[in-house]
Order: sequence, then structure tokens, then C-alpha cells
Amino acid sequence: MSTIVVVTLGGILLIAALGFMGRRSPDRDLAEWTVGGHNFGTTTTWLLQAGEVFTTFTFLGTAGLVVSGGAASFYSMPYVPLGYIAMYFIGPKIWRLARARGHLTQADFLQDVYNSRFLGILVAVAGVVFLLPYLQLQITGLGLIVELVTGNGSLGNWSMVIAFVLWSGLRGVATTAYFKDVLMILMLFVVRVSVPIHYTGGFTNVFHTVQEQMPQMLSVHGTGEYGIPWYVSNMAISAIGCAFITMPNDWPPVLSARSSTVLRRNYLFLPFYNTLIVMPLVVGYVALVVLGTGADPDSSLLTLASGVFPGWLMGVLAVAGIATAMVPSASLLIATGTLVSRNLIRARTEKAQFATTQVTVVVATAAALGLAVAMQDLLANLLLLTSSGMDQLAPAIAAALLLRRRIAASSILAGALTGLALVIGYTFWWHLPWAISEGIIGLAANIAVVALCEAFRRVRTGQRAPVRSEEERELLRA
Amino acid sequence: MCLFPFLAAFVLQWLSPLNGPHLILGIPVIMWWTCIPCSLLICLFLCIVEFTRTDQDREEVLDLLASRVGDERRAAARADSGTRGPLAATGTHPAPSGPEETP
Repeated sequence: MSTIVVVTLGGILLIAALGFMGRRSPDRDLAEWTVGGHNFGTTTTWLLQAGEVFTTFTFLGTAGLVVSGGAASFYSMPYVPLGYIAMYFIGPKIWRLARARGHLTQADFLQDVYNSRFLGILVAVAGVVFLLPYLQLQITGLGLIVELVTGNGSLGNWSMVIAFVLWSGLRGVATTAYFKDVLMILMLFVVRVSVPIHYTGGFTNVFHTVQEQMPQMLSVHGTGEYGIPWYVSNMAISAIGCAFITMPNDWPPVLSARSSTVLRRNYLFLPFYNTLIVMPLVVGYVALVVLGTGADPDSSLLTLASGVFPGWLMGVLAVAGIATAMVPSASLLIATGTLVSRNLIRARTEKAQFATTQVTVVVATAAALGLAVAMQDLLANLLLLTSSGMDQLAPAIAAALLLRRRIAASSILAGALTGLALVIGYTFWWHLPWAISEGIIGLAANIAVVALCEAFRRVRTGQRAPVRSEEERELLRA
Repeated sequence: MCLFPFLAAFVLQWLSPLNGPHLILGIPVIMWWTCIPCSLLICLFLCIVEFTRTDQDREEVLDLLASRVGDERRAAARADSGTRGPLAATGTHPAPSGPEETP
């Protein structure tokens, strides 16, 4: 057995042990399993929220995006900090209303605020469907790392992800998140320093070489794929998703906080943490110089590292990559499972709800594995597809939090369905003008339909939208 | 103040001096402005907002209110579970706040 395999197996065992230590016995309470009993402090909430950002997309996808799109990949740097500006103000509102009303999912929240069960079901269906590409992203990344270690792709590690998600819930994810973030950042730093020195003689030499050989890769230009419209629209759609917490997997870290002060303090420094994404971007430019534009984008970081690192260090890098895929996957599976059990199946007892959640974890993993085999795509594109779909809920969330009067659920539903239909249409059949994000096109139509439907409803009924209840206004400070 | 990072993110790439094949101190110009104003300055802006705001006490009062309402709702649901079965025991299902609206 080679050194890399031994180190990787040891790392996998350590990840499993940390996941199991997160909870000494399996949770019996869905609120405990999903949002940690609303009792997490600043550090744990920080790591959970940072863990949602630093995923396989960061570890492998951003370097791959540089190889494919050059400077357009820099869209991935500002969108999360821009989203944190809005989250600083609306995160506490969401936390308070959810804490008071007992919401565990995004669908719970919207169903309750708009008083529409059908909206809850639509949100849950959209969440389950559009989280699958994001889960596929993690699976593909994990497959690349396993292939690096064993020489061939294997999906066996997913049994461990399923086991630790089922056993320990969000607490297991939180415990592993400490290990994952420290190891990932350490290894990204090592890669960021050693790879440019080894291949090009230094950090700035990389960019001088790119400037001489392919200067077009240092700027965003044109209107085609990876042009300015692509850059701006994808940054906007990603920032909107982050700002209004449209991804269902981002809700448990927010709802698990002990208080809204914990959340606000997190958002102060999370933007600084996000600047670390610059490290894989630099490695992406090294890949561009060394491997050229024809290289496999998503495995470029691993390919470069394997030419520099000894076996044991490649093993550590593989463990970092596996942890980076596993922790977000677990979080995605928890969100998907809870959406299905609470908002789709609507199990009648707590025990049935919990059992449904756990069966969903297994089914969702199998579905994402199927997608990974049947519909392969660049890792970054999978994340953009998830954002485009889920952002169709942004008008619903924004109106719920920011408007003093309540918009009718029928208007919100009409807008969301229009937006989702456009995203699906542009993803599978239609051609995007100027490579603009399909999410932005859907969102524009979504907002227009909501406004038209609401205006029409008010004219037809002659009634203004109802004012919120006093408790709701108080908690939302609306 | 918080709008500045948005302007930096969505406007600067239209200006050719800030979006060309130029290097500043050996680093692409686009990396500078996506890293500094769009990321690090946001920390600074949010810190200024957080540490100069005067309504923190109010926020804490609202947090306590939310926790109290949530705990009461949960306790009521648990008490109710004795008569209505285990469904209500968690108190985590959103309670309907009025007649349901049909789409």
C-alpha cells in the first residue's frame, strides 16, 4: 500500500471519528439534528457559515474556472462579501422570526409568512431539485480526489458521508468543520506557495508569463462566454443568492445561532475570510501557464500538486479535499432531508419525520451520483445552476422581510413559477443572449410577474395588501 | 457607505484602466479591486456600522422576545401532544397564522 493511500485512509478515519464525536448518541429530535437546538455560539456558527462557502468549488472549481475563463473567474471573489452586507441586516430578522415560530427550513419560513401550504411545497421541490447539482459538484470533486489516490474513480467514500450525516446531524458537521477549514486553508496555503515557485519561479512570475503569452486571460472582455455580461450577471445572481439566503442549506447555520448578535458578529469578519479564495485562483493561473488551456480544468490543482509534493503530503492534500467535499455534502443532505420530511412528505409523527429525513439522505446521494455519471459539467457551472434556480425565491424572501404589507401568496407563486420555468428552459433548450446568467433573466421576469399580479389583484379586489401581525412586525422590525 | 463595494464590483470592470492586461506590483489589476474594495473594505464598513449603532439593546430585547415566544410555543405544543398525539410534540411545525390562501 503506497504512502498516499495510507495517509488518506488515516485521514478518512479521523474525519469519521470527528463526525461521530460531534454527537455521542444519534439525535432523536429533528430540531436538534437540523439546527443544533438553536444553541450554537459565535465560533461554531462562523465555521458552519464559512463551511458553506469553502467547498469543493473553492478547492478545485475556482482553479478550474481560471483555466476555462481566465479573469472572469474573479467573479467568485466579491459575491460572498457583497451578500454578507445584506445578511448583516436581514440575517437577524430571519433568525428571530424562525426562532419564535419554530421554523427549521426555508420552506417552513415562506409557508408561514405567506400562509400558503402550496408555496411551502413549491419551495421544497425547488430546493430538492436545485440542490442536486450542488451535491453533484461535491461528488465529482470527491471522485477526482479518490481517483488521484487510488488510480481509479470509486464512490465508496459516500457510504461514510451517509453514515456520519445519519448519525450526528448538524453537530457532527460542526465538529468536522473545524478540522476541514483548518486543513483546507493550510493545504491551500502550501499549494499556493510551493506550486508557483516550483513551476514558474515565483508568485508574480506567473502573472508576468500570462501577460506575455496570453494577456486576454488577465481581463474580462467581450460579450461571449466569460465576457463582461457573463461576469456581471453571474456575480449578481450569486450575490443575490447569498444576500437573501436563497439556498436551503444556508438556513441551518443561520437558524442554529444562539442569538442574532452571534450572526451579526460573524458577518463582520466572514468577508475577510473569503479573501482566501485568492489562493486557488493563483494556482489556476499556474495551471494555465504549465498545462495550457486544453488541460482538464477541474483536476488542474491536483495535477500540479502531484508534480511537486511527496506522497505523504499528497495524502494530506487528499484528506483536505475529501473533508472539503464531505462537510458541505453533509450540510446539503441535512437541508434536503429536512425539506422532504417536513414540507413534502409531511410525516405525521416526529419519529416518522426523522425516519423520512434519513431515507431522503440516502436517496438524494444516489440521485446526485446518478447525475454525476449522466450529466457531467464544469464544477463552477453546477454551482451557478443551483444559484440561478434557487434565486427565484429571492423576491419571496425579500418581500417577506422588507415590506410592511404582505404580498399575496398567489402573486409570489406566479412569479416564482415563471422564473423557475425560464431557468429550466434556458438550461436545457434555449440559447442565452450574451451568455447572461439564466438566473438573472428568470429573476427579472419573476419580479415583473409578481408586480403585475399584485397590481391586478389589488385593482380587481379593491383591497390593499394586509398589514402583518403585530408580533411579526415587531420581530422583523418592519 | 455600504453601496461603495457594490459600485466597485459592478462598475469597475467597464473602465478599461481597471480591467485590462495590466499588472500592479506584479498582480493583475482585477485581482486588486476584487480583493480590496469588494472584500476587505466590506469588513471595515460592517465593523463601523456594528460598533457605532445605538440600537444593540433593542436587538437583544427582540432576541429575548423571539426566544421566549418560541419556547412558549414549543412548551404548549408538548403539552398539547398529550391530547392530540405525537405530531404536536416538537412544536417545530409552523403554526398557521390565519386561513390558508389558495393559489
